[in-house]
Amino acid sequence: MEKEIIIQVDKLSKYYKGNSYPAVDDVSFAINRNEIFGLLGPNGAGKTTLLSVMCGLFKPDSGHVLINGSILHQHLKSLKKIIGIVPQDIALYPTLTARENLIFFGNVYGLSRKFLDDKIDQCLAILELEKSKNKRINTFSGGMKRRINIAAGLLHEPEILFLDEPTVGIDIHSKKVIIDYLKDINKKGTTILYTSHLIAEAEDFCSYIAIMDQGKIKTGGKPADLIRSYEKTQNLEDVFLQLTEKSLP
Amino acid sequence: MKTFLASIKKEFLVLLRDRSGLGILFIMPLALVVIMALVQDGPYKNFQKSEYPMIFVDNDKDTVGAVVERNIRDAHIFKINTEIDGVPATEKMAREAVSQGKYRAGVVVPAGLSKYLRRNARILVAKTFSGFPEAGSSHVPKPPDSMNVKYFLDPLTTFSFKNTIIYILEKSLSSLISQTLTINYYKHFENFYPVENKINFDSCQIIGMQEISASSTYNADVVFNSVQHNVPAWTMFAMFFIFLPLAGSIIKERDYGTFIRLRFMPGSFSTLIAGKVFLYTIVGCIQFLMMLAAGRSLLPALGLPALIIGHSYAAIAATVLAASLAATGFGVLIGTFFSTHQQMVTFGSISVIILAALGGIFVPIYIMSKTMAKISKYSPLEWGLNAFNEIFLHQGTFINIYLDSLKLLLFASTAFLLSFLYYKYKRIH
Repeated sequence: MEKEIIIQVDKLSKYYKGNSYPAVDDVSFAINRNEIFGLLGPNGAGKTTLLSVMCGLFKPDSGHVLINGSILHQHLKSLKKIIGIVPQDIALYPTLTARENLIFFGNVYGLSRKFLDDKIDQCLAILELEKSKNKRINTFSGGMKRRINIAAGLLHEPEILFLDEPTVGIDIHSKKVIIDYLKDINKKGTTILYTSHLIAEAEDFCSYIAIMDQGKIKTGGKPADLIRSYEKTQNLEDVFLQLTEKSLP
Repeated sequence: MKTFLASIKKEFLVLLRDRSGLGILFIMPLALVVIMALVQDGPYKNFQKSEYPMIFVDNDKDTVGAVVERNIRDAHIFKINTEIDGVPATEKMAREAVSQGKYRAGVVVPAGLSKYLRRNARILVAKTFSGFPEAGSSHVPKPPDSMNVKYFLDPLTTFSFKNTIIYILEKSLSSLISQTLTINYYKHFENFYPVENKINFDSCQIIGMQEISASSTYNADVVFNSVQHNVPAWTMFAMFFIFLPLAGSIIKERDYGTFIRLRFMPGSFSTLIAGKVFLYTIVGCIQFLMMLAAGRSLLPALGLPALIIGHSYAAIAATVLAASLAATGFGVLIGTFFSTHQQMVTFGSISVIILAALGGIFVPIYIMSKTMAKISKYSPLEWGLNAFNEIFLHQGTFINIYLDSLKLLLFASTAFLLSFLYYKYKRIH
């Protein structure tokens, strides 16, 4: 059975002002519906820039992004409703409680009161934050903040979820809770695009992986296929090192 | 609408938990208005009823001494003392006490001055009618130094204060001279003509003056005092300090990454900014009400006069709203232009202080030089302060303040437009 493409990136390039070289250089790839697509690369590879263009934050200098067959920058307003974003930074209000943060972001998505209340309770329960829901974010640990950061991007049950380094700098317990939750929502139909430089985590989590360096996609495929297709590689980390010639953090 | 209301609620909660922000918005202006009104109460009384301590030495103990003392008392500016430490003051003691700053001024009427005045008036009248040209010469001999009324002043005394003393003394002496001469002429004519009706020249007022209202709405009870100046002045200052928490919240949102998240989300970004503007405009209105309450209740409890606010509540509301919007516009502009909190605080604070100085917040514009007074017309704080003064002091209505309110609204619109254009520019580049 042929898989349905949900995101199509076509010859996409993006330059930053003052830079002669592109941050994203003529990149093309497709993401199938219900896939967990891992975009890996060293720091400065262009992952966050590519993600930002794919979310509609920046306009590409050339090329385009198609979501469900519609050009993103021409249908931004309607497409934003089916996209969920989890930025790399903890994009929350530190003096508001977890619940107040989620209510605010839910209201910006235009969710009904009843739906939002139920969704917040559900998210907090799954992310094991029920007891802390009325505590302010600035009292949370790094892992707890990351979990709420993810919940804020999932309140409106998006078809596509963009995650930029969602597990960076957190404890093992929080990481497990987050990955399990993401796998769960993927099973329920959410397509995930995930950027990271944590190769081992991506190898376990993603159904498809693209390795990016210097603004270009170097290779892509299922993790097992990638390992098999390169010589002298036992895991994805070896593949990554061969392609990027850089050590991992 | 949901996004707008959500933004207002979020901003409200964030501000409510920002203790330093609340302090800047409400405690600082209240402290400023109380301290400045109390500190400036004395200087403002220079222009109104005030009782400065004066030492008065009457060595004459006759008509001149009595008239000078009465005129000084009637001026209601000085508190006359005739003794120092329970001892009747002498000229030497008085000069020493004034030089030490115990009294703001001293006046000494020399002994025998009344007799000297009467004798010389008689001689002058006699000369006028003596028939000898040389005796009737118009030259009047200058009095010796010992017969001069002397005054001396504290070195800190202002020019206007000195002029007031000179005016009182000149008024006293000239009226005494004219009255004494008139009486002597009167007596001279009595020798030749029968006088049927004796006129009391002391109470004779052939021409006079009268204070009338400058306009039909003028309220003579309204006096420009430290409360009338400081309450609206520091209200404007406080309103413009809204920039600090407002611009701070914009920069924090960028730092937290919430701006980025919000830009990814379907709600209109300008609606979210509108929520901030709405909340801080309300904060500006609350600041005004708080300062108004301070002017009406707190300052009178501290011994200062109560603030008089006029009768045009619609004009007050229009001014407050326009000033609040101008202040929030300034805050949004500063928050948009500056990328770090430190840059924003430094530039914003200095800007508000400069605008306040130009706008007559620290000292009234009529004290400024002509050049500075002209420049002050470009400060939004001056527009707001001028509008408040029109309503409070001149019993102005909407007609009198609409121009200043429009200027404030234009300032706000320009600030919002520039912020929007800069935001767009930054998004592209």
